[in-house]
Amino acid sequence: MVAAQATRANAVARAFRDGTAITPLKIGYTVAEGLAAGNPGKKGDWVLRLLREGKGLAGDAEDDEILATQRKLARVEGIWAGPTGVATLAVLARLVAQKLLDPAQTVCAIISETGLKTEAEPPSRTGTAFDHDSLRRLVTERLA
Amino acid sequence: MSDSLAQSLTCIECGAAHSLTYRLECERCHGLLELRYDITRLQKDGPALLQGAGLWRYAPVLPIGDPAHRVTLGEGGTPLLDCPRLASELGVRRLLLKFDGPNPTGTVKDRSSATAVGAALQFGYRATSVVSSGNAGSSIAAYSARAGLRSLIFAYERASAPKLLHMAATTTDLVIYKGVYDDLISIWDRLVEEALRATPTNRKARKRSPTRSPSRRAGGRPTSSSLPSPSARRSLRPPAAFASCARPGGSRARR
Repeated sequence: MVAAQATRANAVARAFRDGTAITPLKIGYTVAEGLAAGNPGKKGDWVLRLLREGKGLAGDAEDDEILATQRKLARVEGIWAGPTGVATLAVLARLVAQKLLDPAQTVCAIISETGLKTEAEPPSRTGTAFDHDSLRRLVTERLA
Repeated sequence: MSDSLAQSLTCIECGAAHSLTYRLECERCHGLLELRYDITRLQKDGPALLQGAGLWRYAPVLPIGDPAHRVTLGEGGTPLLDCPRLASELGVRRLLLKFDGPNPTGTVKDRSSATAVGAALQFGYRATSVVSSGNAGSSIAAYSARAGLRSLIFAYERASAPKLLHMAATTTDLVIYKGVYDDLISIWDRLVEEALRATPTNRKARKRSPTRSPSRRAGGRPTSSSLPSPSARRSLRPPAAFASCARPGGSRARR
């Protein structure tokens, strides 16, 4: 079992790494809104205990890594998930890169939310057409 | 008749067992409570105990005994997707994603909301409440509406606009909190404690079901236990009329 958190709200991951008890954090905003808990309380202690007893892992990922993972998951597999939902994958990428997780295993990650409730900048307007000719030109260019 | 195999609420700290009444923490040491089930029956009957589809397929290992309290919007049974291309990008041998976006309000929270609102019905509460950055709020509100309960949703002001819209659409009472989100959690916890100390005479009238109960955590569990998605379907009688959105035209494949 691997616990994933946003770096901006990483009370559990930090305690796990340092081998200490949980110290409550004063946190600000994280794009992984659903993970914004600086003081996980008794439930945090319980998670930490389960991870230690079950030889699990804990990790965290920065907001920009989480957003990059969100875009990648949509483009590579067609799954549009929210930042809170893809934090698991962003942490997985980090743990593999840090060689803390054996890549020869089968990994299962929970993607906990849809991307349809994400608030973000509107998409770029490049690729806009307005009539038959401009549409035809655009498609011909793209298919070239 | 109850087909739930839940037997007790056991403290994870001191091990004290409590009966399955409304309880938020251990009476003896204030520790977290964990649901314990009839493991012998589970080992004996195994998968034969499971029937139907979705979250309530796992009713025997959920704490809501009366089927009348099992509120549903069609949660659970979400896809487990093999993702070979992403696996190779990340450098792992095999990657499976349990995608909970297809749940009724778009998040994993619908699993725990189904059991939390089920518990509210079970214990005779008329309102629910939760602190949320968006997902739990719209989920608890939607399931409360479905069950005919009032919901008091305490939302973080920086929640995304679609999340705020979803909460506003489904809840009876939306309270938007300006300030530090963690502080809101502490304030709400205090409100819960104060409500619990209300005198028995007026307690019934303002009974709230705080969604940090063990029943709520139980609903979250089948995310992993429901991994092999069941294909079983309930039998349905055809409806007298069927309304569908109609629009001619649409998509075509290009060769």
